[in-house]
Amino acid sequence: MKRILTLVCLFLASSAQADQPTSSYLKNGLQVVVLPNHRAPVVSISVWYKAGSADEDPLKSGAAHFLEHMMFQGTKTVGPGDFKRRLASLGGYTNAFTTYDYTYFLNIVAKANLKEILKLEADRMANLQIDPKKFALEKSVVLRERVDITEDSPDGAVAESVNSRFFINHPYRIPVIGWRHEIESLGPQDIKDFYKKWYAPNNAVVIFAGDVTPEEAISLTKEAFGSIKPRKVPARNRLKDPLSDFGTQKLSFAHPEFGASFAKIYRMDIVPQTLKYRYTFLLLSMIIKERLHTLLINVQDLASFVDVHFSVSHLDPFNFEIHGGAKAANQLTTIEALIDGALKDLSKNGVTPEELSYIKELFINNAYWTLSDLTDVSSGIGNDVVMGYSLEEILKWKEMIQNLSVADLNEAAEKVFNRPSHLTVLKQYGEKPL
Amino acid sequence: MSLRLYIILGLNLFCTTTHAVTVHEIQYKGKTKAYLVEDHTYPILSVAGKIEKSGCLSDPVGQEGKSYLMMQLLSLRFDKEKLSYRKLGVSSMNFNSGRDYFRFSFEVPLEKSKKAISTILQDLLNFKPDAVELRRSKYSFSSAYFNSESASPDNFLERKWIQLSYPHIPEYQNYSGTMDSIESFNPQDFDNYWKERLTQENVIFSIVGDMSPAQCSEFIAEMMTLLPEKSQQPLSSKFEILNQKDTIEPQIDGSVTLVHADRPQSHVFFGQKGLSKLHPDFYTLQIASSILGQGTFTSRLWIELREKKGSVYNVLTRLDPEFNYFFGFLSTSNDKVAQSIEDIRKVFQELKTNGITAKELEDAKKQLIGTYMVTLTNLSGIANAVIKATEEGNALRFVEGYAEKINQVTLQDVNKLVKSILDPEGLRFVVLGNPTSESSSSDPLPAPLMHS
Repeated sequence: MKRILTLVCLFLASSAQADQPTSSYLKNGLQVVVLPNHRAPVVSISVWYKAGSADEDPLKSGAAHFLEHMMFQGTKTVGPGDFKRRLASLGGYTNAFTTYDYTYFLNIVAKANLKEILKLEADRMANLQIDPKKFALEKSVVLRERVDITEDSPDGAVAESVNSRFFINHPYRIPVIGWRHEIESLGPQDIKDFYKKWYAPNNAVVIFAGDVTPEEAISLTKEAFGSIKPRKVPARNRLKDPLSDFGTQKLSFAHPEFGASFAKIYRMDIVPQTLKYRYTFLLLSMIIKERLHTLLINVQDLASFVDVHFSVSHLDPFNFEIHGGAKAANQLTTIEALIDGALKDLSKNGVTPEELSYIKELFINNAYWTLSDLTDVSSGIGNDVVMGYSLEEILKWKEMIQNLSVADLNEAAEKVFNRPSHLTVLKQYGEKPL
Repeated sequence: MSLRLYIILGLNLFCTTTHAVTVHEIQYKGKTKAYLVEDHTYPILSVAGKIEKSGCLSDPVGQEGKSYLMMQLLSLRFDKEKLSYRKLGVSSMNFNSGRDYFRFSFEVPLEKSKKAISTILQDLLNFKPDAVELRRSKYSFSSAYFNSESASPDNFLERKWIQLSYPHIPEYQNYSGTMDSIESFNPQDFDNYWKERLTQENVIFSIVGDMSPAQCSEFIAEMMTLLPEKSQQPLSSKFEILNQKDTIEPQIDGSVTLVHADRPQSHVFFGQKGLSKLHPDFYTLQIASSILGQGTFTSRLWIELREKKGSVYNVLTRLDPEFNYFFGFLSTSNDKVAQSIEDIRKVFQELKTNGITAKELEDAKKQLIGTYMVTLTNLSGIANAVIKATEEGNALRFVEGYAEKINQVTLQDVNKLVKSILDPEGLRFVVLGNPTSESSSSDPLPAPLMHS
């Protein structure tokens, strides 16, 4: 039914105005999203697979990310060196990303090279070759990457450690890159298994942004991917965390490379996973950031930076995080008390209509910049599509933002920040790692 | 706005339609002062600007580094005022001083664009650093710049290479400043910096976004009235070097200079004569550079040094169209420096002797045009590409103009040029690190070797 509906939308869109964003499906289930913009002859093409590290089998952590590496190592017809060379010879930009919930391959190329890039992407969707020699070489690259981002990066090591305590049972407790001992024990067959299980056209989305019409994009996708057979893809049944008020916990880390910094992490599993709550918390995160910036930097002059993150790229409830750096180590306690006070004030007295209207304006302005950038729009819309939202609802973002009221934000803030369930992480200088 | 009003305001409007991207030329008082690319998808504007014949080469003797220090001062000031600029809707501000130009770009919402841009321009014209800002900027500039040996070895080596290769051009020696010149600045030294540079005569804008040519003409006219008409003395007559630079060539002698540093690996910078962007063979050399060392995975240097020998982690070549040199850099383990230098000379010699193949030419063209297109993925990228194209008088056809310049290069052009210009034996190398010999019997570096 969904397929028929989107095709109707596509038809309506193309008959009314050729340049409207469209979503449709090939017969093999591959979703094609087209976001046309003809201001310059360049196109971003990304291929998204609805599988990430949280979909790995037990004891196989790191398989999703390892597969992402192997996707550059050749297919049945294109040798490993040739694959990279062919991508590079197009003069475009190519990269790939693995997250907990999805993996995607991003290419930006001149319009003239569109056909060639689609051919390469389709080839690796269907015909990946996992050569044992290449696999062994790539394992050292992956392990090296693990060293760079965790073992040799104190911040990365802390993040890994925090997540493994914050999530008790859910696979978000396991790092995306995988545990070292499990990566070491992965074999070529493990990567093949993950590929066969998840990398099917009916579990993927191709997103075009730039100088291409929906008709062109769909016809080129059909030509490149149309013959790939759909496969049965398993349901994503994941272990769940018990809903718990675990009280407030504090973790302290010391390292010679650390300045004094803090993070407060709140669980989001109390809030429904809907677009409305998503936008509510995005606005709240901006309001909190603005308030804390004024308080801790402009007024008190205690912090060197303040940042607030609310993730929109997790399929299951993730975190709401407040980060900051203290100008002096002995001020961390004062800063923590000020943040607690600011959040208490927010959950008790709520936001003001003036700040909400300012933040909405800021949000909408920022969104325009994201939507007008071919890389950002592909990543943003792609993320939302693989999170399961329809293009139609995603494109109503502005209306949804404008409809959010002070009461909506206050109710959400009360739910999350007025709950004795968060984790405080303190990082400080120490001669030896702690 | 009606046509009549344009005439009243003394504005002229031209529109040149091109196949790929339509660029409108916007005039003010009879001179082209802006280019516009329309994109009405969202109500936002990217505004880029350029002041030609300025930058580091317009820093007076004894005040070298003034333009770079100004960048630090601006970044500090705008960071401090971040919340108030955000209230004006400014989502991004960039200032960039080159050796002979100054560029800036801003991202603003259409609705507040006039207020935002006029505030920024006025803030620039009235810019006066206080003593604290200057002290902090000197500190961060000095620590980032003069310690760049460890933070950014390639930049450090490039500056060293310039010093060694242009002994005959005093203006190039310390163009980016010295510890002494940076220390000597007082707040009042910056008083007229922008009034001398940001004038109606010097500046050119490029705008991409939700604006019609008529709106853009009006917008530019309003912005221009905020600026002084011209500076008392044009920078290019005050600083003769700005007019001479297109004909200046480096002096190279095949030497290898070692800057000793205890590092786990060595960084190597090498270069020879290049061509100015205005030279008719510039794009021919661009193609030769691309085949030699521009493409990761595909270039001749990558294949020889990385794939066959496994001696380097990366190797790249580039053209510098400001000081007219052709350069490359690589990093390698300390025991592979001598071999890498030998291999680079060999790859240069091979290209000089035997030229390139038709397939290499075709691939290089595809790659260069593809790389150019990737810079056009957002409004600011397009605005900057148009501004850069003004240097070659190509703003109205910046996309096709670039592709044409690349596509018209023939196999004979490249092979003739590489024969005459490549100088494998003359290449000057500068090495930062602790090179050792692979076998104890050979010298660590080929002679002649200078220690610095």
